[in-house]
Amino acid sequence: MDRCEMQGSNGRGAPPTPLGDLPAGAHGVVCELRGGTGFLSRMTALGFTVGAPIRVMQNYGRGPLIALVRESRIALGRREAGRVLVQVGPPAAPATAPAPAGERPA
Amino acid sequence: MTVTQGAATRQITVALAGQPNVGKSTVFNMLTGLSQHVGNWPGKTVEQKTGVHYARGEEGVEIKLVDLPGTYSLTADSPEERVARDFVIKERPDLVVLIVNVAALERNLYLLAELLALPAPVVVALNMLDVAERRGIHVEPAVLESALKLPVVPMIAVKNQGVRELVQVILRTARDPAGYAPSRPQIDPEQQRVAQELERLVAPAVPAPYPHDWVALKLLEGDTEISQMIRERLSPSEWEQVDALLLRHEDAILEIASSRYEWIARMVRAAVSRPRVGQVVLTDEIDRVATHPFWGLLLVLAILGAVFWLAYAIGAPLQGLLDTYFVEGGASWLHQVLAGAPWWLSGVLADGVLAGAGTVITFLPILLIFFAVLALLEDVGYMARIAYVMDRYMHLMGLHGKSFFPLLLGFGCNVPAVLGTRIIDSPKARLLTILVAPLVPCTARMAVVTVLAPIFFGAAAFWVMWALVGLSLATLALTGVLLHRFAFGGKHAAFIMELPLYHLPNVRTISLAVWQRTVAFLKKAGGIIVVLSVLVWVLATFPTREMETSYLAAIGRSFAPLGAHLGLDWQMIVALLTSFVAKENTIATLGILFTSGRGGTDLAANLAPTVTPAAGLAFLVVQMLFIPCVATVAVIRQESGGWKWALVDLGLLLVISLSAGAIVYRVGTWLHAG
Repeated sequence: MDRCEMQGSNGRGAPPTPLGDLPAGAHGVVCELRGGTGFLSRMTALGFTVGAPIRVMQNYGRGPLIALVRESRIALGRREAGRVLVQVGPPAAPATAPAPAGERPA
Repeated sequence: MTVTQGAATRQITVALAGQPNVGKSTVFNMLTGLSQHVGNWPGKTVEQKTGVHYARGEEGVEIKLVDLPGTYSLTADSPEERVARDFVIKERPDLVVLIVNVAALERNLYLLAELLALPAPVVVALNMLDVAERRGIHVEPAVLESALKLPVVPMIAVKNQGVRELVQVILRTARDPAGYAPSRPQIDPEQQRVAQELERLVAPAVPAPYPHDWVALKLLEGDTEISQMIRERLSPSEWEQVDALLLRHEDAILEIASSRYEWIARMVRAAVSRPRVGQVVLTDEIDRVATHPFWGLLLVLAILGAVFWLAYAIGAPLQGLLDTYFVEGGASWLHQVLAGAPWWLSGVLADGVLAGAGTVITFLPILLIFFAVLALLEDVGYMARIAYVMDRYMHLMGLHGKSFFPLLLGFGCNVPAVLGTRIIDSPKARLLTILVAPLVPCTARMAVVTVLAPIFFGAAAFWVMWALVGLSLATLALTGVLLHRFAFGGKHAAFIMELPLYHLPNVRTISLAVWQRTVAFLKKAGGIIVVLSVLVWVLATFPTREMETSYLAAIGRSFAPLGAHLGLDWQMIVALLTSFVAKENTIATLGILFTSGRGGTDLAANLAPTVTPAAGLAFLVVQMLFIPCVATVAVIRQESGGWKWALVDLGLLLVISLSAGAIVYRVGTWLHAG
């Protein structure tokens, strides 16, 4: 929890939110990963590290969700998504962020 | 492998590494063509592919290619990762070629950061440049090469662009290993200090081929395999020191991963330019439907409907033709040709060997269709979406979203269902899927029920058939839940899966995959099927040439006390026993046992009066849940890595089917009487 709160007080504003609670279209930065070594090792290899920009592509509130991290779409079960804390914020500068489900591009 | 092209043949071994979905198998196929050998890694159920490439204009040099399993990292999270890193460390390839998908360059280079900690020289192949360009991602290979200080080859493998250049670079790098001095990722100074301290502590315990610094790094990352290896080699007090140090740096893995990505970001910064504005990717447009909880489910069902239509419209008629002309035609031809030979010779060849081989051959059309569909859906990237949509339902059984599609193929035939479980990466979920797959009612079982249900139940047959299918699936779900809970530790199977970008199918990749799966099935399962078919023929024929007085009948009679609990007489038991060769045999056996020596030849007329409704239902229940056919058993053995799980599954299914039959018979008799 520490790292996330520290970043929160660093002027980034919004409190850290579990990935599973974020709606489609939300973006921010991964600020904490919780879990055993096996989980951490798989997640980091897939691009989830502290500071990595993340975007929720799909989240219907039940069942697995899809997040965009380091230009790959990763599907996570709800339990796994609950272990990723995200500092919600503006999208990372030159990202190849496509429009998420439910949001019509202009 | 002897090569006679010139006297001084030199073989260099090249390992192909890469994360999943980078087009690695396409590159491998381009380089090796049909020279591939597909097997399993020793002692593992991980597929191993090797092949040879002869470079044009480089006579006397043979490139042996080993396709490492696709892995995201080299920490021992899965058997694939262990296989990949063990190969690089222990087999010492002359070179590792890392195939990278440029569309997700930084994530892909994470594996490079890991590989650079191992002794083998690495060449990077930037694949799918066209996909990246279409998305506005532009990479300068030369700039990346000078940053990484190792060879970087741009390529579009599906268009055969850059493959020959890759071969040249492989040969050049292998010729001059001394000139290889790449940039290496540095972990942050704090972790570096801990790693050095660890290295000092464990150095005396590190066995021969392992680099000391790599072992220290993996310990710090919490790698279970390396921790165990070192623990076994240190005295308890020495390990305590190591363990204490590790405990103080428990989240080192996060720091190490971050510093790898930071290094990667520095490496690619000058070489990559990206589009500034957010653009819509076709994949996300398709996924609005394909991964939607409702529309996605409908799409899965529609695609499955199409697959089964294809199997029945094309596969079933072909199967019929093969059966008529190959099996039956072949049998009568054999009987004719061998008319003068001893009776048993034509018998064993026509009714044993040919019947067994016939099962295999008549299977092929439907198998090929299913294999092709599996390979196609996997290649275009849709299989991951099926898994995503179905995961919430499969999870209830401890299965994985990826278990769904193979199990569904089981309605056609259990063999592709078991073979199809290769797409499941979690070894436990895969084994569990294999074990429950025989409970999916295949077409052959349904054919038996379709013939027998009207005989036993007349007009009510339709409802009985539906109830039987429902019972099979309920049993599958229950067995899955119980096995997961009690035999597999009940641990929550994490659902973490990449959804690759969709892309157009590659005919070459798909046809090679179909070819390899078919050959593997014929080679591994074919022999077992023929041998067991012959065995059943011998048992059913000797000593008297009549089934009624054969060894098989004697075996059936010896089970009579057991059969009494199910209301089954010995003929029914023999029918079940012969169904082991092929499910359809149930009908043929009942035909022989109930028509000869009893006057009439009509099975229905002879069978119906001897079987009470309770016994009939019990028989159909046992038949539906019984041990699978020999072809399925053969592939279960092949895919689960040995006889152990195949035998466990046989025992389990035997118990399930007989108990279910006994319960149905008891309840049925009681209801009938009451």
